[in-house]
Amino acid sequence: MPILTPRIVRLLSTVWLLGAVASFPLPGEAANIVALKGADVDVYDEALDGFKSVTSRAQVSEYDMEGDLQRGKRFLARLKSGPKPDLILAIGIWALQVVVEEIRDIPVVFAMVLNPSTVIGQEARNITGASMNVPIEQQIALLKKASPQARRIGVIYDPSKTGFLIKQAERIAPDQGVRLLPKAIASPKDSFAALDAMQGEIDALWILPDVTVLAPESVQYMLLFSFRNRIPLLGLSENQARMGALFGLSFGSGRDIGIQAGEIANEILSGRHAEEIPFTTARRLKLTVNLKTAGKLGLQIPKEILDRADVVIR
Amino acid sequence: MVLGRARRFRTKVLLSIVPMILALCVLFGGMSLYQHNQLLRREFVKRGKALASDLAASGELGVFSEDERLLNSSLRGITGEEDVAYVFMYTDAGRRLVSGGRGLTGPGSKTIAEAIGEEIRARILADRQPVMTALSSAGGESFLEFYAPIVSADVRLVEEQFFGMPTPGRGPGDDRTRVIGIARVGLSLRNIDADSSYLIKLWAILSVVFLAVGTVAAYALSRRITQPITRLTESAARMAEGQLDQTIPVTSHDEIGTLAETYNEMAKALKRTLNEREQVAGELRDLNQSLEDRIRERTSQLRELYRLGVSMQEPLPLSDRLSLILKGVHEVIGLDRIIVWLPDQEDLSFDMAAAPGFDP
Repeated sequence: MPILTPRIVRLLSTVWLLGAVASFPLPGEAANIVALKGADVDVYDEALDGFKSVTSRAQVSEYDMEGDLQRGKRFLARLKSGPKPDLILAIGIWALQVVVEEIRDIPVVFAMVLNPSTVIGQEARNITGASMNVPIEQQIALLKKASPQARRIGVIYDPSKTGFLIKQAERIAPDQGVRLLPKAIASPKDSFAALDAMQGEIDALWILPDVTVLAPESVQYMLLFSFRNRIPLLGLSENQARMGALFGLSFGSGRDIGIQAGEIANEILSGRHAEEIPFTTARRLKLTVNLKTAGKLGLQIPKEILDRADVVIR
Repeated sequence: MVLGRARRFRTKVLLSIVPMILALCVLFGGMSLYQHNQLLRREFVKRGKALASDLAASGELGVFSEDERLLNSSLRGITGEEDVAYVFMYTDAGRRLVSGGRGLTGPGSKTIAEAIGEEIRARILADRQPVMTALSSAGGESFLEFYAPIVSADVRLVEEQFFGMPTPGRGPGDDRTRVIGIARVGLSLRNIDADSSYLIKLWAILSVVFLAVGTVAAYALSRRITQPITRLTESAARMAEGQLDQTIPVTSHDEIGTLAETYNEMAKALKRTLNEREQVAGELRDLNQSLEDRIRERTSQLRELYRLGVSMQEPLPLSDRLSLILKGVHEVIGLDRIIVWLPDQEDLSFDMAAAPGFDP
């Protein structure tokens, strides 16, 4: 039996971490950063790597809460009772959730979080970070480029989840020469009727990162809707593009988001206040184009888009 | 009479073969019928389960949205299927969303309960496994009912669209899928029953045909066996009556043929023996005859001699006497001619006293 079982390794790393936390950093010394990973996910590790690659001067200690919120809370409680780190990196939604609840006086940078504003309340002034969200203008621009005659973009959303995105989109849309047709729904079931109501009213359909909209049945129905009405569908991910959405536009990679978070951390460590730094959206994007769908929709995808695409499904 | 007939070989053969054929027919026919029925039923059950599961899968969108159009379109494929009598879809609470199928418009439709049984619903919600029940309606038509859960996956996090998130396996609330509805498919057993009764009929007809053919074959076989034996018997009977020149035609090289051959040999040998005996008897008879003739001859000779003796005593001249004697001698001894000369006392000459056999 190996002596270093994962449990022992975790225990040792926790002990080491607490020891590291106990030594209060003096000015000029390397900053202490505690990285709290929400779960053991490869992309989170990539993000952490990216983060470390730009915060090489800081000492980063990791903790994995393994998807268990209680475990994360216990860890943060221990952290608060000891010497405070200079910064906390929260990787993933679960890590951000517990940090939002527990930490008020330590600057927090998050990474790999979607729609962070729905997790972070207005009163939290110590939190900023790099979200996984794709800039809305880029999404609309992509749709516009693919089918220039598109004027009306339909979108289904749950106001409590992605209302803020719709507000942003409605601001941006006129600049791009399109009109947004948002349909608010309260439960996944409503998306069918909402879509049916859009029939003939829209030139393109846009899927938001909204958990109410993303029930598998709703996604299926949106794909069906796209095929039946021969309108392009902008999906969230490569997965959705593979399922039949014309495009899938997502963040480039976990490492990119980690680097963005690291840059924000560097700014905070150099004296800027977290409150002054807005959440960022993904800087580098991953575009998947499904040419099979394009063929079925009778769309000619411009070469410019194909050149830019990271994945082309033929 | 019946008993006498029952003792006949042919009857014995028939009596032993026909029940055997009958038993074989019943056993094999019954066995294959049973197996066929079992197989058919198994396949039917499989098909029903598959149909219910198919419906559960295709009805997911409709049940999720409770949209009538989607619900109806998910029914379209299945209600056209053969044997599908009726189809229902319910929400997880047991509320009926849609129904269809031929059985709902037919005469026995009133007996089909529109609501889902509470027990079945609870069972499906707990096990999430397809359930099968059998029921028969008042119209005499039987149905097999299949229930399948309509399962939908919950999305907890948008992140799952991008990368796999681990499932913290804690508590029942963490199950990612949930039953959003129940699909119910009723398959009519009418076709299967018709198929079974057709098979039973076919089996009965085949049995009768087989039995008839078997009986005829057994009869022919026993005839083939008994006919040479009958011929042998008849031949033996004729031989017993004395007609020894009987041969039985040998038509086969089997045991019966060998028996006939042996029989012919035996008849031949018997005839030879009888012939020999006949010959010996003839010879004996001839011998007897010659003996008798000799005795008769001697007796007549003796009788002559006696008569001669008697005649000697009569007072006759010598020459007559001599003639008589010589005549007797002549007759007894069988000489052709005898001459007796007697010396004459007077002139010393010989006189011929008698000469039987010479004509004077």
